[in-house]
This record gives sequence, structure tokens and C-alpha cells, in this order.
Amino acid sequence: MARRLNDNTPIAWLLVLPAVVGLVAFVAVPFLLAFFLSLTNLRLGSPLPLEYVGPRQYVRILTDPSFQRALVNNAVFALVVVPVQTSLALALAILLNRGLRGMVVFRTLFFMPVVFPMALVAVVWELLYAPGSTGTLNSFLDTITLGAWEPKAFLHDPYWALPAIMVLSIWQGLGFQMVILLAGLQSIPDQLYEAASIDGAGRLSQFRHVTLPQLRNPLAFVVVLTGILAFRVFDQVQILTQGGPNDATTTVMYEAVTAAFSRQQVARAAAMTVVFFLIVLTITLAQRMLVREEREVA
Amino acid sequence: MTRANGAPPARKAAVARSQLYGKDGPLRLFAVQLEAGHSVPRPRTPAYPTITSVFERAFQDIRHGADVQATLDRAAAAIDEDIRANQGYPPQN
Repeated sequence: MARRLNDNTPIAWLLVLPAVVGLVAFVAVPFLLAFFLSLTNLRLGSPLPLEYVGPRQYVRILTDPSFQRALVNNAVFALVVVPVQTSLALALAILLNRGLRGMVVFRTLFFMPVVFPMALVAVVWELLYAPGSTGTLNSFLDTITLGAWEPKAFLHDPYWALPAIMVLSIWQGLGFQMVILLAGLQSIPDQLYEAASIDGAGRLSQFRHVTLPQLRNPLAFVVVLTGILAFRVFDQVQILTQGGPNDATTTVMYEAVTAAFSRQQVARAAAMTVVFFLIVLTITLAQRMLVREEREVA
Repeated sequence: MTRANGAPPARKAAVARSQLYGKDGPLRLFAVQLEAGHSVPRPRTPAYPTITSVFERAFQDIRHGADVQATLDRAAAAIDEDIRANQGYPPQN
């Protein structure tokens, strides 16, 4: 095909080149390197030569009870946080959409936790979860139950540690979803609601048959994004529980980072991240296929 | 010195005078155990990063109520595996 006089393709490539170089150097190359390194026995800072050991790292991590527990914890985290956070965000968005006075103030307040880095949120919540009767959450629960609450060390209890971390993750991520869903809600034309109420639909019916279908795109985006982020839990675990009471809060990212930097077993960490990548990829593809199918039907 | 870095003082006379590690100080158990010989020095080995990381995890697990013998067995196995993977950390010149 002959090149047109005002063909801008070479210029476009030139302009995109810095970004592509960065992407390749910092994302694609480490990505491929992880695959190859997971088949070796690379250690950080070891003078011994690198050797190819095949799938031994994978066998080791898949039989390691800590890693298995990490996978379970990640699954529980994602299965709980994604629906709860999305529903709460939807509820808040609907509340804010009513146009009551002071909506802008509330919107800002709800969005503020998103701006804070997760490490900061973790440090603040560590104070809230402080054990003993002087801890904030403990004394609050003590007050509202009129003294019937026994102070609990949330972060040191094998049953409460993961829920505690889930609560603070939900708190932090809520604002972001809320803002996106609010934008989606505000783009639903009023005529649909009027038509629905003329047809005799009550509030709940209107919600199910007008709001939710119109929100399908923002909801899909929000659910997939939160799902991906829910698998990357690391900051909170590192700061609050360091893997938790007997592996109760360890996650795959935490196991991989401690293996690589505390125990200097880079190849083992690479194997963990490859396994994790495959799992997250499968789940994300499944999510996207489910959502796309619904769009075609509608 | 202790006020600057919080570590136990190096001389017994200094221990007695320290506010943290003295007789009524909150950290006196450290000084007591050091003098009674219950403490052992760190192992001087290149495997120390793994040893300390595994030990820290085991210590926290035991503090949270895990079975002591099983946790320590797992920790020892992890350390042994690391030493094996590094071929015994042969001396390099």
C-alpha cells in the first residue's frame, strides 16, 4: 500500500516510543524474567552460579502450607470484599444522588480515604484496633453495648485478624467506587424513572429494572477493578499483622515479598508470582466474559 | 548510649544505672537474662537473613498460641532447606 503524503504513522510511533520503552523495560521484561527465573534457583546476593532446576520451585510452593493458606486468604478476601464494597458504594451513591444539601461535603469526605496511601490507612487503623480496653474500637464497642463487650486484640486473634483487615480495605476503597457509580447514576435519564412509575413500578422495582441495568457498565468496571486490586493485598498485611496469627492473614504478595527480600529466595518468589498471575488472569477473564455476555443479551 | 539507641548497656555498672534496664526498669528482663546466661549470641553464618526471618515468624506464631514443637520443627526445616539450597554456603575467597 503506497504511503499517503500526510501519513502520520511514523511520527505517531516516534511519539509513543518513550512510553513503549518504559513499558517494555519495566513491565514486559520483568514479567518474562519472572517466568524464566522461576525455573532456576536464583538467590539474592549469592556468589554461587545460577542453575536450572525446572519445576522444583513450583512443587515446593504448592506443597508449602503457608502458601496454600495465602491462596485461601486471598480468595476469601476477594469473595467478601468485592460484593460488600460494591454494595456499600452503590448504597452511598444512591444516597448522595438524592441531591440533599451538603452533598458535596459528604462526597469529599467519603472520597478522602481513597487519597490516603494504604500504608497510612493501616497505621491509623492499627491505633483503632489497639488491644485492651483503651483501644478505640474496643472502648467504642464497650460503650454501645453498655459494658458487655470484652476487649479483644483484633489483630492478634486468628479469627478476627482477616476480617479486621477486610474492614479497613473496604473503608479505603469505598470512595473510589462510590464516585464512579455516582457518575453512572447521574447519567440515567429521569424519563426512565418517570416511565417506570407511570407503569406502576414501586421503588424497589425501579431499582431492579431501571437503575441496575443502566448501571451495568460502571458496575462491571468497578467489580473487575476491585477484584484485581483485592488480590494485591500487601501493605496492610505488612504493617499490621506480618502474616498474621499463624498465617491467618498472609497473602500471596506478602509471601512473595518476604521470600524474595527477607529470605533472599528470588526464584521461589518468582514462582509464586507466576502462579498468582495465572490465577488472577483466569478470574479476570471469567469475570469479563460473564459481564460481556449479559451486555449482549440486553 | 542506651538513651540514644535503646540497646542494653554493655557494662554491668551501666546496667544498674540505666533507667530502662535497671532493677525497676520496664526492660529489666533483658539484662537479667543476659547476666544469667540464658541468651545465646546470634549464629554467625551467611544464612542469617533466612534464620532471622523464619525465627521471627515462628516466634510470633508461638506467641499467638501455635503448637511450640511443630512450629519450631517447621522453622528448622525451612532453615535446613535454605542451607541446602545454598550448598552449605561454601566459603568464598
